[in-house]
Amino acid sequence: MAGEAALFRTEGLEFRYGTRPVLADLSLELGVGRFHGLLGPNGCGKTTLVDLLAGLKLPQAGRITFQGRDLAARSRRALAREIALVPQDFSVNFAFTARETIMMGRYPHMPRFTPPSAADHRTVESVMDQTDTRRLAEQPVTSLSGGERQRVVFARALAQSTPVLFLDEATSNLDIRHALDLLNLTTERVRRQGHTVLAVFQDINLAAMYCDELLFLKDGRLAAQGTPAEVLTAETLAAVFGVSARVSRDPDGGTLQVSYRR
Amino acid sequence: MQTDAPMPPRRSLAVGGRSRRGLGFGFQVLLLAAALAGAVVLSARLGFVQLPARQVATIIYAGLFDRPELLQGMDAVAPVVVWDVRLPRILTAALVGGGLAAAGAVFQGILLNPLADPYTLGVSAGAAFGAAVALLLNLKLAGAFSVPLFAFAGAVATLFLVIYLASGSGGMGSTHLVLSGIIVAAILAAGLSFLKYLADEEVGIIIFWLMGSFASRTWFDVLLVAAALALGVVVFMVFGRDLNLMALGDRAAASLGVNTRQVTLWLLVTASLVSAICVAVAGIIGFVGLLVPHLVRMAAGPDNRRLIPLAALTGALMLLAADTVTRAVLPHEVPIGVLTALIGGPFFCWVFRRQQRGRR
Repeated sequence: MAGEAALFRTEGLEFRYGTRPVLADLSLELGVGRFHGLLGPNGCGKTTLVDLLAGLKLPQAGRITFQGRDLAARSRRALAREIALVPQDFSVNFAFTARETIMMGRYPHMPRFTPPSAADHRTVESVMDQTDTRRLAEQPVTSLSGGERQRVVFARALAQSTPVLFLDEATSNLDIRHALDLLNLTTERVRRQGHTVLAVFQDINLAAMYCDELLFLKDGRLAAQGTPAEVLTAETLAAVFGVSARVSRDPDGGTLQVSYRR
Repeated sequence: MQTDAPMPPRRSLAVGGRSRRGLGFGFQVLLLAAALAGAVVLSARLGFVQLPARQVATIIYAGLFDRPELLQGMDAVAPVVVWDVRLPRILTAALVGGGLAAAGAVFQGILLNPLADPYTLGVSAGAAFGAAVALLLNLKLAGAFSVPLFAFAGAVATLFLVIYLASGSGGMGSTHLVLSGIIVAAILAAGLSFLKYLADEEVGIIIFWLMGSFASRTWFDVLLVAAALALGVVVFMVFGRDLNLMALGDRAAASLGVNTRQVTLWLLVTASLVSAICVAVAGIIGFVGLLVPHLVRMAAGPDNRRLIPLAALTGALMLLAADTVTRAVLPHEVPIGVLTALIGGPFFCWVFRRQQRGRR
């Protein structure tokens, strides 16, 4: 991959919780304007990597550059205008309405003590239309189902209008139609606006459908990185997940499909 | 079978997604402020000597704008009763009510728990312990301020111990804070029991202090609590928006640009200082900090930028009402902390029960 176009670059990244190493000597690059899928077994450090790249945690060793500059040198607020995150945990503890929750995505763009501008309202309304959350707008998020709440949280990240979007299993609680809708929406932003996406997936088939590039993580190390055609092979799956699988081409769309053997 | 509205109640839709919670925020503040002003005048009328409202209003006006000539021809006792005796007590009660309610709203927001209150982190236990030490040893280091000063020191020391215990490499989780608050409070409660045991015949003084009182407060108390509350509300409002984001959890709040550790620390310390000053001045008064923010949140929504000022005004109104009842209405003065618990407790049970029934 061309080094010039790298949006994120990590060198020798290390992270431990207490004495338990999570990431060890991790070096990788993420290109601008691409949809990246992050895959790997449970506990391999996917979420930690996302947190480090988003600037929410600091590595114990190594460094991360974002847009060619040191990530750690940026303020939280400045990063919140560049990078949005849809977390795994989408609990909301007080009865904010869906609209209020989505409007929170605009906070990084609004000065303190300033009410939302007409543009902020327009962004929120258009995001609600795109994510099928308009009919939930006035409801307290605490009364929504898990999937509905996840869509609201997704909408909040879109309302943040950032060129970089991190999805940490952002579609795990959604029915397949809403999952596809949101991933289509995300892809559209990548294609039309040159946004960059890094998405953690459990479903490898879904990742193969949407991603330009796949990253396989195992035991805190990068096991493989490349286009699905390059890296999504039976060998990779055996090495990373320890499963026996067959990778074939979907007869219609041409995307890769994985079927597992027991 | 009665079917109550689900909790929290669905509110009517409003145009443009604004002010869906009924009356506008500015109007709500004005309404509560007017009610509070009315309550101050009404309360100042009542007592052993009943005074006409007009006379009370004149005395307050004359005092505020330094117009002693207005008091000519009035019974000389009335201005003393209103200005020197009743008003300091009334205003202290209102300010303490406001302080406890605003601090309660902040604690609930930080601890992600609608049942937290200014005392959840052991602030009251620390204050009680400090006050008991001063009372038991009959310390007079700072004259009449010894007991409030020790109560304040106890509350602040407890807070920092709790923060120290709760903070790990990953910041302060709300569960960790609540847990360390409970542990420290339990130790202090045991210490307090021991002090009461040591106090022997003096035990009554400690117990009486713990039950809280606004009797014989001075203008100094008014100014002290007013300063703490003013400082508190400024800090709370500066971080109000960040506190909203923290309802989404630490990770989401951080990804939206909040420095969660710093915001938590600022808000915890400020809210605890406000509560500690309230406790130091008035003793331990429960349920105001728990119930008022809870009720206001049900009526006005969870946005802290609206919740905190509205809770402060409502808390002021409620504690003033309770203190007026015990001072001027009941045949015998009941300690204010006992009264708020006797009214607030059952009321809270009712609110809680209603919520449980409305729950899916």
